[in-house]
Amino acid sequence: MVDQPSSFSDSDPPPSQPAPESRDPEIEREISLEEFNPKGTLTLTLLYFLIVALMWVFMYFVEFAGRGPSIIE
Amino acid sequence: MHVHQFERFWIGLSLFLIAGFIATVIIGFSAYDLKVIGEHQKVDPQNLNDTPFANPGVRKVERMGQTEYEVYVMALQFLFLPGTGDPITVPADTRITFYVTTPDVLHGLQVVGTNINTMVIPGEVSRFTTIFPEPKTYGILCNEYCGAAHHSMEGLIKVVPKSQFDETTLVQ
Repeated sequence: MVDQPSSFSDSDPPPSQPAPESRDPEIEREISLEEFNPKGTLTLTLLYFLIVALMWVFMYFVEFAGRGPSIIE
Repeated sequence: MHVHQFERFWIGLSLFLIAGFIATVIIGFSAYDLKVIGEHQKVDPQNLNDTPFANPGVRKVERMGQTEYEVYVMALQFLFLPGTGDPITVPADTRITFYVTTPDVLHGLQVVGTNINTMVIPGEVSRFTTIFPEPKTYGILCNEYCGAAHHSMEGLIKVVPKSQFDETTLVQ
């Protein structure tokens, strides 16, 4: 996306594509932001969240606090 | 500002995670009563001869009518004195207070497999108290890079039953 302008030199004819907003004639239905619900991304995020939370609990309570003898003073 | 409901949910989860991290640490310090090692006292690292570190080892002390032991350990490049070669022998089920310092460079002292772990800083004495519940041999190692042979800096703590503890090994 960033290097797109540099791919055209001055001598090239201007791109014949229409503006990005209207260039895809395949769009059949536009939805609002509220209607867009990425459930797969949500599931993946929840899965990562669960892994992080469980690893933290394991690391802190089992690997660290559970390893006696501990410093008592 | 309009934020999508999923994003609001994710922001909420992130805040919950941060609150959870803080909560577990607070639980550790309150319910689990975990301690961290603070600075105990300053010493002159060039002049340890005037301190108990001149004669490192295990000492017996009476504290509030209880027999306890103090262990003075000197960490050097690249050994623990005592600990390396000559293991630190202490009785089980007794309060043991370690005093650790070094005359040369930054070291660490970790009792392997436990959460006992301290830095050993020239000019400062690290002090911590623990009770080894049962006879067992623990490894100790340096976990701060201290020079070319850092990887070989290790030692042993030998925890023996109270009845078999040989008091003739104590230093005066």
